[in-house]
Amino acid sequence: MSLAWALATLALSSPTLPREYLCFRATGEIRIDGRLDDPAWATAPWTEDFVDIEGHKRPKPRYRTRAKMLWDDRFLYIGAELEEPHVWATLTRRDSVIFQDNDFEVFLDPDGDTHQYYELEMNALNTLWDLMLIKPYRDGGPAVFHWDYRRIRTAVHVEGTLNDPKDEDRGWTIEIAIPWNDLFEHQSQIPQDDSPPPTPWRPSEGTTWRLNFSRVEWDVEVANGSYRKVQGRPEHNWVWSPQGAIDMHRPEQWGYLQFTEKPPADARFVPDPAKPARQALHRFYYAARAYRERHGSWPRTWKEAGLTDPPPAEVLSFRVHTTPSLYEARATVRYPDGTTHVWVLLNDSKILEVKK
Amino acid sequence: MSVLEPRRYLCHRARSPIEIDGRLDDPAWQEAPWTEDFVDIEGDRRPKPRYRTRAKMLWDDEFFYIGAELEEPNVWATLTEHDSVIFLDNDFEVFLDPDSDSHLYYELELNALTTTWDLLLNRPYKDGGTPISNWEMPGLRTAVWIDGTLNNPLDTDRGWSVEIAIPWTAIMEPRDRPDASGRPPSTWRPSEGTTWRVNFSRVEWDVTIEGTKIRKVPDRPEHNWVWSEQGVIDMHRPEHWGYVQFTLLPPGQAAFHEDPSREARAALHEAYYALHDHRRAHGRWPEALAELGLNSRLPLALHATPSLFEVHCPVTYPDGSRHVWAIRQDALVWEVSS
Repeated sequence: MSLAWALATLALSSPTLPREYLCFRATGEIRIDGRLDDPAWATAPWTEDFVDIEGHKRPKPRYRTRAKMLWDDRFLYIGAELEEPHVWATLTRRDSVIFQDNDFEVFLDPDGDTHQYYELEMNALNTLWDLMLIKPYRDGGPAVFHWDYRRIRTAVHVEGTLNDPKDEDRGWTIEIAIPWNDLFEHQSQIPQDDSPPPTPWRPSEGTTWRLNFSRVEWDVEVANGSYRKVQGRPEHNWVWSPQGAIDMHRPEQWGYLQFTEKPPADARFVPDPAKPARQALHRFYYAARAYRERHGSWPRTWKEAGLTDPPPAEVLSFRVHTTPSLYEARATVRYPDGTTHVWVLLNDSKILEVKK
Repeated sequence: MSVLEPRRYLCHRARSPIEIDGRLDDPAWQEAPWTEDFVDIEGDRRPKPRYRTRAKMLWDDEFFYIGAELEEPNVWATLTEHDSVIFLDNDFEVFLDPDSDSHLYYELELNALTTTWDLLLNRPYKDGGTPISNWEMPGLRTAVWIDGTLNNPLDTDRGWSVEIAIPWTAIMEPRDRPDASGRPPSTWRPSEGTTWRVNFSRVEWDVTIEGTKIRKVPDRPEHNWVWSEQGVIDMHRPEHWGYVQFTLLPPGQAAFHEDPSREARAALHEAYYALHDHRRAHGRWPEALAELGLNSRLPLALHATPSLFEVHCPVTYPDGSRHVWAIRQDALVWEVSS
């Protein structure tokens, strides 16, 4: 295990990670115009300020980024505020590689199994790149670029001037309304229009999804009166829930987004009782990959994978079953309410609860 | 258990432009042979379809062309919204699995109003697949020509014909990316001998005439007429789709090259279905394949965990080379690298 990985693991095992957000119902209409001035937004708390994608071992981002969320029967609303003295954007064609500009990105995995998740990128010109991942890239993907958020609404408001280096801007704000009908379009019960889908294809009290936000920021300089990326410099990646590596495609590190119907004063975030099992299984996943690279086969136990410290105390048993190319790892976990549950991780990192 | 023989089709290059207008009258089409007439999806044990259906294919650097002819005395269609459930009308359907692994394949349905539903399946429904309709085929061109009148029961129509041009860029997209210049890689289009799995299906509802309207007879299941027989009422068994082999050679000079892995694939799928049958009956995979009474003469090896399995099948090709093919519990088929 490399030192960097050890540090990342340490940072990521701190209790506040992955991030958690309690999402309230919108109490009024939200006009998607890029300005977070609708009265409903006032009830939504800000997320934590974004941090470097690798976490605390990297410097704090030089510009502040934060987001809010709300929901109603039809949409998940996302508002974001990006401090930025030089607002610029160049790409205007949908499904361009938007992170070549400065951008804001949304990653969503409704069922939290780390497969079949959605990505949205947008720049200050409100140009979108929307795609679906069948699996994370590490597990072979692929990314489906011809997938579209068909009924999405997005808007950008620039607090300053776009592509004008003569003045200093304050930043840009973003408003997004993601329809449940797009996220669950593959379910036959989903209406073909904007009307609300039946449950469970929209959240109810306590529904918990995995979500992350990322902001890509390039170092720029001014040349001939316009902004220009400084050549040969990698981008900065500032995120809500740190990933521990420069890789957004580790959905197990994304934040927990929990929906509630209760008013803010009465609602409380309920932590994921399966978190110790999930974290043990994903530690095994990365260790097993490294083991296979060295030995050409899967490790048959937690220890054989090179994991020296035991799984967390809540994990009552940890078993691995292998074939030449596949494995499943099974963690039996005790929830805080005393019940036991079995969670399974497959070699392609898919994670799910199995009924005993 | 009988082994179904997938159909085979040698697909030639279009030697002149094809205008997508629904009529198969472009000179290029004359060089393309018709497929066999479509049969019932379940095959010979069901009656022959009452109306004839057949198709042709061609290709060039940009497109895969499909032409189809559907005999039909009452041409009708109602759906006008893209990505509706088109098979609720009479329709023509195309299924494509470029890499023959039975995962990540494409479906296109269209009715006589040229309304389309294009979707991507990550894997077959039987394996937990989901139909991804927000996936689109950008650049797809389709046209229908009606030999008769649409939605008019007062006369007898001769049928409808369909012309489809599917851009290679639209379907290879999830598998590969353009290079830095934005050009699609050359691997996006077929080369000599490239072989895909393809099937066509036609959904036909029984109708009655009520005054000036054509109506579906209530509570009757649809007919499914297909090019390559599926054996069951399920198009989502890509292992039974036909083989379409692309060639640069002119008709007469080209010969279809058989898939040397076909016997192994058939044996693996037989084991796959038997393993799932066993699990449904007993709640677990069997200890050994011997319990299943398989027909295959090929030596199969089972490796299983509580919820996963892979079956390996070593096979010697006609050229003497040795290969190992495998199938997984979710029907993915792949060649095991040694």
